[in-house]
Amino acid sequence: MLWVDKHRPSSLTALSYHGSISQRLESLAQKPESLPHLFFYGPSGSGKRTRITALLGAIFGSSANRLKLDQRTFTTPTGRTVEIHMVTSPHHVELSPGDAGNNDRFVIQDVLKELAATKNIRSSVANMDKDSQQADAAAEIKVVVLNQVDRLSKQAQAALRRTMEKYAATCRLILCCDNPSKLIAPLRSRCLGIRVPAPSITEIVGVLNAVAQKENLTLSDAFAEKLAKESNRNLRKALLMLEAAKVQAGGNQLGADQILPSTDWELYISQLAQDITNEQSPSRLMAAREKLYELLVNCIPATTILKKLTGELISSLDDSLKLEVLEWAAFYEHRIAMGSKEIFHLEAFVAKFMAIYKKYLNDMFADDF
Amino acid sequence: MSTTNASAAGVPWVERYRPKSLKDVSHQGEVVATLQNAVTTGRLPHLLFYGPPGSGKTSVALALCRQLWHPSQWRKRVLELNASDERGISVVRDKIKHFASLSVGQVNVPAKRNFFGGPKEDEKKTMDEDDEQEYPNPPFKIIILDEADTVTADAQAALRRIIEANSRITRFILICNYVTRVIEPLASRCAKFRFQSLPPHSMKMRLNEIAQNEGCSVTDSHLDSILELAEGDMRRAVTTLQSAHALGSIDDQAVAELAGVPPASEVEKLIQALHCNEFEPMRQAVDDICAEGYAGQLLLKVLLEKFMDADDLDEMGRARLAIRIAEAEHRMIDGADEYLQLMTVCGLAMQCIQAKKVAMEE
Ligand SMILES: Nc1ncnc2c1ncn2[C@@H]1O[C@H](COP(=O)(O)OP(=O)(O)OP(=O)(O)O)[C@@H](O)[C@H]1O
Ligand SMILES: [Mg+2]
Repeated sequence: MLWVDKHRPSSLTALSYHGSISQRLESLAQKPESLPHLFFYGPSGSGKRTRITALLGAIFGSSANRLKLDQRTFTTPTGRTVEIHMVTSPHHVELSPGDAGNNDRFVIQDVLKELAATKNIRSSVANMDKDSQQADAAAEIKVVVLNQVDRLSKQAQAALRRTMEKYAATCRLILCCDNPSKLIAPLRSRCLGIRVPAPSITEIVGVLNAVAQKENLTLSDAFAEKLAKESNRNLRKALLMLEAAKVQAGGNQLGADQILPSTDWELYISQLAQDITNEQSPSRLMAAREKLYELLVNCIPATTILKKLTGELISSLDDSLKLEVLEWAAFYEHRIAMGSKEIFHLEAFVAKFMAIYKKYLNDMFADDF
Repeated sequence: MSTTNASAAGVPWVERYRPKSLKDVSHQGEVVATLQNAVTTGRLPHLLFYGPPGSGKTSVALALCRQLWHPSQWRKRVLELNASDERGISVVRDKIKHFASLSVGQVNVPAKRNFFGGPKEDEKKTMDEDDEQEYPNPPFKIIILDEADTVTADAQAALRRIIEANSRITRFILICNYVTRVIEPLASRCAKFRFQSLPPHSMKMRLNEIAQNEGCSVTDSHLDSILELAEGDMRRAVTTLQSAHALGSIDDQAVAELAGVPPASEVEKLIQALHCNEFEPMRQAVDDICAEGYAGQLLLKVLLEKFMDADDLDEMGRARLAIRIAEAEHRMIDGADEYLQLMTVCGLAMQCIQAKKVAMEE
């Protein structure tokens, strides 16, 4: 098991940072019958899922951890069969309806509505480790966790609206995503927002040290800090890098001079950034296109590629060009969000960058003479 | 605001305090008056409700139906189709046809029924008031098409015919957020009602009632900050009130946090970074505020307010920024990345501030 999962705190009290959020969740868990629908948002790797799991544990006790995998099959009105996977406990169901792609609307209309409308079987879930009153109230409600709601189409989101209201007495939704603007306003109005900020560098260092201790690893402060910074305040990434560094080092010592592990695709993108800064020509553009394809084929999301590439390009550019390049990155990223052929927009961005940069070089040259 | 019985104890406040009758509806005076009139005369045109989330559209439609027929009747009389139902045109046509053709039976509900006449569990809460009341029992059925702006234009076009074909026995209530998403020929068949977002003072009365009913003590100033942050959305206000209540002690900061609004100090840091006219500190500041996880749209709104009365921008700069922010918000709603959009806005702001500085020096 990866360290990220192995050392995931399982109760609200075990969560190491954002004490005020944990406290707030604790108070909400005290009165499960009046729990509103919740909407967790915050940067990726900030610990949203962990907090949701811990909250469920606080509401339902240990039986919320008795998980099993489940799967539903249903037929769309156009006759296609779609499968959707979910994780269930006696009290809750967790799924990512975005997985169904264009059919996400039917997941909400069929599967979710059915889940929301059926009541929990009370007797079978009697809960020993909670005082009976709270357990009773908790047993009456069922929680549906929807992950990555930012991937849901507008149609699918609209389908949630009345479902959330009609079955509010028995079913509470917990929505979770990185990008809150992608949730339509009527849905945001139906939820209590819980913002989960990225942990600070110090907080990440704290978590890294705790994990290192459990794994009998000697972790130097300097290297812990380096990891935290390199992770961009993404705790998941920091932990993955820690584990990778340990494998790289081959021992239990991680000193200050340990090299930072970085992922292949990130190296690949910085290489691409260098390529197109060094030479602007049709053949380079073709080569860049190959690289972009390669990244997409390996399931790196187009937006991630574009953001990383922009970051790399900008850091080596003259200040006078930075804003212009940024402007175009924002333009093409919007196109990616709107359209379907991601490669077109990535390629267009690269071409645009080449044009801007070439012109800049030419102008400099002209000035010199 | 009727009784709270046991079965309602587990319902979030927004649902528990959903207006049961038209007189419970806050603020939407004109709409309510017109509909009250319809209740007394029993005559009703097709209706189109539009307005922002949480302004009472769905509630008013349901309350209206409740007032037209006795609880035992109105379920047979009203068909609610919303976005959680499949709404392909053939499905809608069939459903409506079927519904319209069902006989409603004898309309001979006694105006006053024995108090112990034994209505079903879920009707109990409205009973004590309702049984005092006479129902107009108008001879038509109502189809509520909620969230109509998500019905495709094709299906809407087909709806025109359906509405006409069934208009003798059915009335339609179309509900949507954006009236422009309903095609004109459809909209023109309905009496249109715009629901306004609620002003603080009328939300306050309702919230006070709810707070009193729930034994929730909340000071006036906290109530005011809840109302301010709710921005005219009654549902948000009620949810915030309940959450604040569940959290026990509440202060202004906690209320702001519930609404996800960045504290002034964080915004100030970002603004400062814009003034130094260097790319790196600006980028760092944007990175930091994004890492805090504030919703991009909210940040844009806060920035817009700041820019509009900032002395270090000239008219031109303000105008350019306003346009850029509008564009960024539009793109965010389309699903574009919040960070990149925010960066471009901040980049432009930096340029504009610098431009004014240079102009002043000359
Ligand atoms: N005018 C109002 N008076 C009293 N309560 C209201 C009013 N408007 C909204 N509410 C409260 O907000 C909740 C949601 O209202 P409603 O479902 O009618 O909103 P809506 O206008 O249909 O919103 P949406 O566009 O998101 O569907 C209600 O349950 C009620 O508690
Ligand atoms: Mg509604």
